[in-house]
Amino acid sequence: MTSTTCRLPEELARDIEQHAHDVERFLKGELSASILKSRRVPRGIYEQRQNGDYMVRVRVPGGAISAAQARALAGIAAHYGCGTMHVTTRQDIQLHNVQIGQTPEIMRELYRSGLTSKGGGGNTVRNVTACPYAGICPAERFDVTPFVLAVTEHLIGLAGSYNLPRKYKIAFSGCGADCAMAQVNDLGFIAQIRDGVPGFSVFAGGGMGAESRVGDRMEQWAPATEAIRIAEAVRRLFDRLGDRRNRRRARLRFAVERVGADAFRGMLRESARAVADEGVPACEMPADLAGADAPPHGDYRALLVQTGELNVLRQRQAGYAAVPLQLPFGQISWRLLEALAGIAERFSLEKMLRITQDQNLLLRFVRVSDLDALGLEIRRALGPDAGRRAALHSFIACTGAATCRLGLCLPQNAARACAEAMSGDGIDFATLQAVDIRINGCPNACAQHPIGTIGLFGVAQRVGERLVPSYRVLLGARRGEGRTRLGQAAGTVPARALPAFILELLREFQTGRAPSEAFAEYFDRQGLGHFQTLLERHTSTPSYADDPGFYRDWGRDEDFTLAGRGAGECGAGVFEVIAEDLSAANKALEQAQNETEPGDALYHALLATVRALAITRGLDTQDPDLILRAFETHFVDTGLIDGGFRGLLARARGYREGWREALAGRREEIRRLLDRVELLYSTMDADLHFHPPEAEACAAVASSSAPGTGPAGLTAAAELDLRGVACPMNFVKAKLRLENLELGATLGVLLDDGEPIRNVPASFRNEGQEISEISATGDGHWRMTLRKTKE
Amino acid sequence: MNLTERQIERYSRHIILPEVGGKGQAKLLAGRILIVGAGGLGSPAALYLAAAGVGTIGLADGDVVDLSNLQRQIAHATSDIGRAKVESAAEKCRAINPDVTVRLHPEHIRAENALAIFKEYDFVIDGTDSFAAKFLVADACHFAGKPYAHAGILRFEGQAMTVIPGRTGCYRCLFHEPPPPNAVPSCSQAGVLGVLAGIMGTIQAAEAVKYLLGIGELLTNRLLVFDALKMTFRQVVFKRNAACQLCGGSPSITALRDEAPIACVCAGGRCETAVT
Repeated sequence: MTSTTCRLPEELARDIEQHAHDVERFLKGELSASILKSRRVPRGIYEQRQNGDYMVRVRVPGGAISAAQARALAGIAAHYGCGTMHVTTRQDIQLHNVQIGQTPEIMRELYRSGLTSKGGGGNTVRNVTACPYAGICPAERFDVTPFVLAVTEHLIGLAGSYNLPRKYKIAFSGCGADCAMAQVNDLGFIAQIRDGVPGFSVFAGGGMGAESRVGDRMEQWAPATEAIRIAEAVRRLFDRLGDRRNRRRARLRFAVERVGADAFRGMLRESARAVADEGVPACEMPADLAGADAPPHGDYRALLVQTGELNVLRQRQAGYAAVPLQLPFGQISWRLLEALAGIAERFSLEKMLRITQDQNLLLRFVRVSDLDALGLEIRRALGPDAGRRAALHSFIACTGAATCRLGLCLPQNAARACAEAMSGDGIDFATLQAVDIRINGCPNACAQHPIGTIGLFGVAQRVGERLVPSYRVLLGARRGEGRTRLGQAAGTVPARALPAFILELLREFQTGRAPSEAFAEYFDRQGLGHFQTLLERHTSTPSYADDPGFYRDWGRDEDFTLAGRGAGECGAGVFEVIAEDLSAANKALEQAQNETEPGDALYHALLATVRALAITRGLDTQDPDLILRAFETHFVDTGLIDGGFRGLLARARGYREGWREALAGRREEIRRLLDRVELLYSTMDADLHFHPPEAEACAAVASSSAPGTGPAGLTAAAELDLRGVACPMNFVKAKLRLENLELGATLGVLLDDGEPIRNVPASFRNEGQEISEISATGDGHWRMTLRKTKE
Repeated sequence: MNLTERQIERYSRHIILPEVGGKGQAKLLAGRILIVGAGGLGSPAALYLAAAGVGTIGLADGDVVDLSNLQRQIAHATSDIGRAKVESAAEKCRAINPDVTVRLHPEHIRAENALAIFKEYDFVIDGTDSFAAKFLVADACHFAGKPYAHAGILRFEGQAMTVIPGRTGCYRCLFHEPPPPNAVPSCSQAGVLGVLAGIMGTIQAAEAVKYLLGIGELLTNRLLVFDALKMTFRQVVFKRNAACQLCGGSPSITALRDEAPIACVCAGGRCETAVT
């Protein structure tokens, strides 16, 4: 066994003291909340849905945590009253309900245990993940763990890892089954032996969430020793090519898409050579990197067997087995974590726990002869179901609206309702083993729904005047080197109808599948249409009078609402810029008060005020005319800012053109505008949309009339991005583009949710044009495909 | 023609209309309209046509702004009193829309200058204030082959019609010639409701825009009569007159000539029959 935890660089210790200083200043009122936010988020500290409660996300490279570290975490959670912790699909552990003043001491304690939250959030190198069966899996080609640690140690010490265009996710898989989902990470390594030499096939530009994408193959095989240099080269390319202006298109996959996979491959090779020339070292090659000779292809889930109390995996080391410990939705109390640390010390030769991509823990290197005794211990610690695959364990769910600021629905409650329906109805072990149901509370992909055999994400459908919590259903996803495929949308089911739908789907699969047929193969055999028909039977929504339950989410007694959805905690780069402008505006206003000729100060205050939010609409400029115009278009015309401020904006133009008195006596008005802009900013979500208190409802409502279907397969050339463009300007722009096309030509148009997707297609139908397709982009936007059928 | 971002935004409510669109807006931007008379009718017509993005607007008027004009001639402000009407109106048009080129003809239309001016434009709006001028415009449009929108207002009543020379009934098909002097109303009767100028002038502007776009039905072979007191519109349908002295089979008017002005004579005033 090789070492499985990281050496942390000393820079991180200094950064903790900087954080302590920041927090101290914040608590004294010397540092604004927005500046603190821009600094704490890259340190892995997020504010929860409840203001004033924070979450600390601890990165665990490869998901490998020693029993001693687990004990330390349990101690921290107990001492600071964090209650339930979460293990995540990217192998982090989250401490919840922390007060900001406690975070410096928590980070110091983590550091003493060799753990860090640095890079737990923001535009940084995130946790490097790995197949949890690395080193033991009978199917793996070699143990990837040493490379996970080497890449982590290199990247977490670089200042440049914490100011990237967006997050940078890396994963390692030990074989083509790709249990770590390397192909849907920004950078993915899949172990590959060539002529006896360990190496990796390398993928770049994958990702889930906004416009999920499977990565492109960069290398068929590269020596394993090059892993650090490749990761560093990609970091540099991303730093250079990533779109910092547009957060929604900032991830590496958009850069790869923009330059093209082949061009990117060329740049990557060149950059990796430069990195090597600079003296970035190769990875050390572990001495005992033994792997299976002829690895069978297969997901680890297929290798699980039931023995007595437990489902176990026979390790490739004779006499040893690995035991998955099921934690519903990754939740774990400090008592349980402490108990499992004790179990790991007693039963595991490596005295470790591994976090799995399905939010569970894995205990490895258990002597087969100890399995019975372990079964008893586990039953005591976790309850009778923990060692067996019960219906609930098929679900991987994010926390959703329960704590997350982006959540729409409550996926864990929905999963429980589904599991209850399934348990009573004879869904057998083999069926459960063949599916993972990944359910997300919003179109983001923390539960990794695009890659789940059944993927679900929360949307709100409008029925009459009311909102119905619903889930969009994705089917047919598949994992495997070169075969990875994301799920296709089959339709949308009200949350209330989800259990009946899932049950029918699984029952059908159970009776209809060929022996040991995977769900993805079954899906291909039946075809998407078959599942759409099945789903269609579960889509009807009774009226509110007949069944108000359809208008409430699982576990809630009140009607479904989007209230509370608020500022996301990501994308600190944008926030910094905004905070800077707002602070400049405040300063200039103060200055204006003390001056006999306040014109200039007032003008600067007004300009900084209207510029602050411009970056959220893709505009980063100092040109006053552009700024004033963009502000009118994006904020006044859209109703976010009262039209009464137009006069003030006109006066700003007048001042610029030499009307010296234009802003005289307007200080209070500018103050009011600044207050309004600050209010909007405080309600901004991670997608840079605003949710002012008076307009709570419509932000993320999917029209129920728009059918959700798969990606439209358009070329970028014929696509018009009208996200962020309000009605009716979006229609105007699309119409002008269409006018210039030939009859019969098609045009793809990206539209916002809400009014735009309700109005724009209808307007084109009125004009006699054909709408050939409308599909959800998966990130809360829509793609409409138009065909010009009329001049 | 490619619209700029600002133009797209400015004209978005036109572009949305299926009958207009980007192509229609381009036609307007390429359009040239002459407004004869920058007074009661000409003011609203000019302002709306400028706002609509009609690329070239010609203003022909030899008068200066007078205090008594301001009750209805909305292109002029109090501070413009004494300025040439065409300058005052042009300034307002440019302020509304810098896309528009405004050409000034600071003179009254007469037989000797009319054709040279008219030939520069696609469509003419008759905003003149006397029978003599209206007959001159009608004749000049006929000889220049320019379609035009006629309107006249008096007291509470207005009338409008559109003429396509050679194809539809003309002003002289209907009215033959200026009325005799004794038929002219006296000064006390020759007042006018200010808003009436706005209503009829914008009807003319609408005709001009429709003509440039090539959409809808023009107000041809019909005289639209508006009564502001009763708030009714009435249509008088008429046909082209085969015996018309201007556009008939054997016309008696074969060249442009000035009609004698018909005006009432009152102390210190230049008030003419049809007030605009």
